[in-house]
Amino acid sequence: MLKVENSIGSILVYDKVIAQIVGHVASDCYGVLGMAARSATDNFISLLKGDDKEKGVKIVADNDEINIEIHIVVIYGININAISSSIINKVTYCVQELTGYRVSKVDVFVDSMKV
Amino acid sequence: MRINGDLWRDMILSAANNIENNKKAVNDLNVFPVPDGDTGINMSLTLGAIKKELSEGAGLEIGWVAECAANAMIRSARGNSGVILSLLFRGMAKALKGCADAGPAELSAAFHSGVEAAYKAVMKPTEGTILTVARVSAESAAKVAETSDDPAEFFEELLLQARLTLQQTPELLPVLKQAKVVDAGGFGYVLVLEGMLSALRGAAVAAAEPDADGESRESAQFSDFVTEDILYTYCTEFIVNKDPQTQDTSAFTSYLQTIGDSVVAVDDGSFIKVHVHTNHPGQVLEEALSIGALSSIKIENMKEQHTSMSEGQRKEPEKGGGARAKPEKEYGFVAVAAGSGFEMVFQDLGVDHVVMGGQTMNPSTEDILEAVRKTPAHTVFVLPNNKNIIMAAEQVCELTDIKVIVLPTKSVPQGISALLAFQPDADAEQNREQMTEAFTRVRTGLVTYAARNSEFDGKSIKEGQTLGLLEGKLACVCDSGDKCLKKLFKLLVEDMSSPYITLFYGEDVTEDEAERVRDMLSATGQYEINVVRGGQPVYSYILSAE
Repeated sequence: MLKVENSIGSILVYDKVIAQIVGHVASDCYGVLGMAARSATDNFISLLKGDDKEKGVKIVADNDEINIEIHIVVIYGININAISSSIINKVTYCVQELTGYRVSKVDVFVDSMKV
Repeated sequence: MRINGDLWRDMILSAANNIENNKKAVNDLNVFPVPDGDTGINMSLTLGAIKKELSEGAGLEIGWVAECAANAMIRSARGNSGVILSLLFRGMAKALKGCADAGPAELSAAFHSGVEAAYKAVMKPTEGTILTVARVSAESAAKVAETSDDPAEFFEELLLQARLTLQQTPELLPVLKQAKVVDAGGFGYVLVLEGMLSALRGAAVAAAEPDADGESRESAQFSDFVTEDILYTYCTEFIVNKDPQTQDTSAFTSYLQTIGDSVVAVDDGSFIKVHVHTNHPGQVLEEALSIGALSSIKIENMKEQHTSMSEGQRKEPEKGGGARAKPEKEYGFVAVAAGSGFEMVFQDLGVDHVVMGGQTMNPSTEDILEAVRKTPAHTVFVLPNNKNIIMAAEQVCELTDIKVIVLPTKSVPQGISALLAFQPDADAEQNREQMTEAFTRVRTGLVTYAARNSEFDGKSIKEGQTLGLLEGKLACVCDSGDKCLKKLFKLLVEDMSSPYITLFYGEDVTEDEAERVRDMLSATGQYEINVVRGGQPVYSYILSAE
């Protein structure tokens, strides 16, 4: 959780919110065929809730810095290196723009490939 | 007429050249996510890879050529538009597989399959990009393919529709409309089609010569070079105003050929414009002096340019406008403070630039960066003097190559103590340690008033009450200012033996009033208190003890 205090109060941003932002941005990126469930629970949740915005995203946020993990599905015949770096760029940019916090790390995991 | 492998290859090569020659124009259109302007470079590098794969050859099958091209492009794909382009060509290759040659029907199927492949790779396709341009043009051209058997007609329709769709992209994508541009990737695709059609008509686009007139093209081409490939380091340009008696300049131009490459010497009768890449710009200038006077001399180190270009591509362009001040001294300081009094205090303590800001108006990273750039020192210490500004200040380090050390001072008194601990003879690391140690010893108390009714840390606060904050946390809430000051002061000096106390009074406090408060506070114990005008807004008093 990210926390900022000033003289009149505190601002708390839950990891979940950042995960939703990341999920939204990442699924918009070219080359992302879908988000991959990162665990059984994740799969279960997306089954229950249908379209789950946080699916395939893990956030570790503390000390005003954000570490992001993104698990994706891609299609055969795509330059994984190229799309991953553009995902990293776009996610970093959007999260910093929307939250004002520094993104210290973005890891992209290609969990599955459709042929 | 049908297109065979040889022609298809020439068409792709012509497309690659066309985008290579125009990549700067494509770069300039790029708006998202950050204006890093590399769509043209990305597309050109993606397509450029096929040049190596498809060397000379004759009697090739179109299926084989298409596959070779697609494979090369997938491997070298860069950026979104590059990836999409490679998928378009991969889809085409799939449809053309096994074909020896192709007519409009096969081409139509190929483009259709290309678009399909490009759309398949994404969950939520963004319309208004190269995807839309490719899709709409392929759909339209498919109708032509049904009636015509001339591939040129097919490509003409393809290009026409692609151009029309490109003009529509701002309507589909708000971000383009805001920036008043068409989509860069889409424009790149139009260039690709243009190149292919030209080759089909027998006028393939050739690669631009590096020494051709036109600086833009040339500057764009640097990005393709590896630094080691740059044989001659200095790009040297100047104008020679010829002496009246000098008629023959051929000796000079042939001299230029011997000492560098990319030689251009345009003789305009009375003057010559010279452009040469060389390792000895001085010798060139000396030689040129023998035929006349020089003007408009420009010498640039291309290795440096190249390195900064390739590194700079991913980075946000360095903001802050003005050029960096020339370093004159070892250490410089930038402090953030609100209030004319503090500004003077900091200036007296040797701070080069005071950025105005504080609790209610946090300066941006850009403001701080600007101040850092204006500071003529090798190492610049930044004192944010507010918890909320530390982050903005730390980002400055990443945006500049100047050595910036941010001391996370959370209040103005901390910043002042840090400055007092500075020693000009010590190195940067020692100073950082000493200054950090000095400011962490400082305790700060702030006195302000409540702007509205609220609840904070379990204490209810009414509008107009006076608040005392100790080290950023609410310490006491009182109805009268004096009571609050006394309470806060007691908490501040608690557990401190013979503290050194300073009272900074704000913009809405008179000097007499501050003197009265000093006397009141020092009467509570045997304390010596310094009174300094801070002139800060929001906080009527800032107390510091160390």
